[in-house]
Amino acid sequence: MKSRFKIFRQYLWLALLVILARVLFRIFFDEFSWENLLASLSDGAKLAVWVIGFGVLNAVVDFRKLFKRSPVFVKTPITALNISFTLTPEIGRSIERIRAASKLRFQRKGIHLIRSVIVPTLANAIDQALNLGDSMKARGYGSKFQTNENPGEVELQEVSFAYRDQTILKKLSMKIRPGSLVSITGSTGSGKSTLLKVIQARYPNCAFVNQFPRDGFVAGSVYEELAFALVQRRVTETEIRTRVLQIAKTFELQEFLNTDPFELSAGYQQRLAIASNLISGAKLLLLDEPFSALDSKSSGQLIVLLENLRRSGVTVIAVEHRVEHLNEIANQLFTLTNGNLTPGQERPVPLRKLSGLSRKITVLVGENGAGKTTYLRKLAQNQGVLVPQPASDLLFLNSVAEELDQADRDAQKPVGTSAEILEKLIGTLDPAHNPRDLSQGQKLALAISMQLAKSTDLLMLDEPTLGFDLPTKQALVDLIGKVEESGVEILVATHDEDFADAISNRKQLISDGIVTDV
Amino acid sequence: MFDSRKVAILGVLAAVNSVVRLLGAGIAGMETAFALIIIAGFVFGARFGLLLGFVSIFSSALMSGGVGPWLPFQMLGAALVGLGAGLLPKVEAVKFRIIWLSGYAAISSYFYGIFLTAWTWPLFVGPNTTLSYLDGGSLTENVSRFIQFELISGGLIWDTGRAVTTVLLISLTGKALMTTLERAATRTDFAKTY
Repeated sequence: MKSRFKIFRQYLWLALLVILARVLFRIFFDEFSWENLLASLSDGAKLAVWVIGFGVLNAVVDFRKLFKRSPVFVKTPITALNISFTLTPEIGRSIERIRAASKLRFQRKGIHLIRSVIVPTLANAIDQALNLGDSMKARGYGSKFQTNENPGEVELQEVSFAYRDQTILKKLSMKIRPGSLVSITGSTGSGKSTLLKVIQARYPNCAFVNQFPRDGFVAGSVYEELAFALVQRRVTETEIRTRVLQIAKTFELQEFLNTDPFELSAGYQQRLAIASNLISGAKLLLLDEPFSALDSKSSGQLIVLLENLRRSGVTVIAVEHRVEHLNEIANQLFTLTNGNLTPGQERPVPLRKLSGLSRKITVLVGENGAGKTTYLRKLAQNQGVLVPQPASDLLFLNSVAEELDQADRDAQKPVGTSAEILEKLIGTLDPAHNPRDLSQGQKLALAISMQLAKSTDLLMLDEPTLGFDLPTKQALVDLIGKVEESGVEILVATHDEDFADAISNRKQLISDGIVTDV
Repeated sequence: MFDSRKVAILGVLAAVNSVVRLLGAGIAGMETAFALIIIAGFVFGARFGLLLGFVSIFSSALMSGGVGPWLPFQMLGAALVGLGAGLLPKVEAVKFRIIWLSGYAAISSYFYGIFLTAWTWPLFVGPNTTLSYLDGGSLTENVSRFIQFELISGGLIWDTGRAVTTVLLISLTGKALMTTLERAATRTDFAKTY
């Protein structure tokens, strides 16, 4: 958003331009006379007054506020317009992040810079849009509301589901009583998220919060975010206010009512997402990987919150691969394997530590928002190579082969250098594969190989385990071991304590941007 | 009416366009927005392209203080470009699609420029010059005056710059952007259990 003065100044320039154009065109393309000149000056001045008038209008009025409520017949464009207002700062930040990531890979200029920024930006934006669309639907956008509210009961009987000829769920049955807290685990690709989506499709009035709560935010303030589900149900303004204040109190969000949801911490974003889904009175809450982005403090707070919700009669079903927190309070545990649920969960096998922990791997620990990313980015300006979070910010080409070739060219190395590193780390990937279709673990390995082609002596990784399940994490631990064997020093920023313990006993703590050895 | 995902995609793409327009007068901001409107219009259809052109320009104007009598022209221009992209016959082979869309991008860049000049022409020139609109003059006479104005004001050079950049952008990023959008267009129906 430009400052009001800047806007007004632009209009002043435009007004001057109009007068000047009028006079110059008159001088050069008409017979010259003082009378003509004066006439065009006066015409130009009249127009300039109009232009300045619009300048004042633009500087004074915030037009965005005029489009808060929409008549039904233009609902689509007005909703899209409001989403655009809300997300413009967020997309701006994402472009800045990706531009910085693009520089981590190579200094690109002109149209090549735009290309390396716009492709990942759009890929991220589309993922965000799909999550946002689902989140809006879950909160009632475009729905016809059923009067029979679900009491928080779930019953599936021999349900199967296939995706592109691949069976994901096989004759799966489950019965969940109201007020239960259910923990479901399973490896990546076992169909955990699919199961939640199938339950959501069966019980449309349930609340659903996906793995990236911030991707579901639709409004510019916490208040409006909470109100969204009620606005869809055409609840009166007074009742909206009462209910928003009430739920804000329960979820300890009162002090943030005017805050931009995107500026909340990860823990509060999670809270807001849950609250804005439950405000319509849903009794069933589905959570997809709720702990994956939270540090241990926020995880503890979420546990308390979920326990309170369960006591108030809300059924909670969470799929999660970090079940250690959840299982403290869950009263039903399941494992999803081969498309079916089995009661109980095996104790998770702890990560296998790297043998003979050396001093070449350092872990940078610290709470969410302690400044880990900023520190790494600063360091990367002078030495080493950095793989950002998410690693996919670095990828912008159409195939694995193109990415690897580009990395070799950027590093001025013979063709095949980065492919060879990749091969050593995780074996071959299909060269024709679209990088955006790779699993998160594969994307990370690809990005690491591309960066290592620059023959550096320091590799930095920012939160590499975000969204990884245990086997993928184990693979990353082993991969880091291999990189270290090749003689490269490694610095990893993470809030994942188990992972940190597995790769190193040399830790640095960052707090308020200050780094100390632990 | 679009479903919630389509509306969200529309809003998010309009936000991307607003950002690139706000960020990048110097680094091909309008051209990037243009390339996106054309590609999205082609993938999601005429109605989507029309709305994206409309909402993108409106949203960025409202955010950057660009509201004025010119705004409807800019909106309509961009909306028509998106509509046209959606009406282009579909071709399967990716290479042909890129050539197809690049050609359309070049033509529509000039169209947009000329469409907007039709608005700035009377504003900047005023009456009674040899470049002004001649009331009662023949069509050829007025078209010739219009073209002279386009040449003198540098509008054609500007349009050519836009056409070249948009075509470059589409040929460099078109394939990746189309794949991303097409993936979003296919949605899984989780109610289809058996």
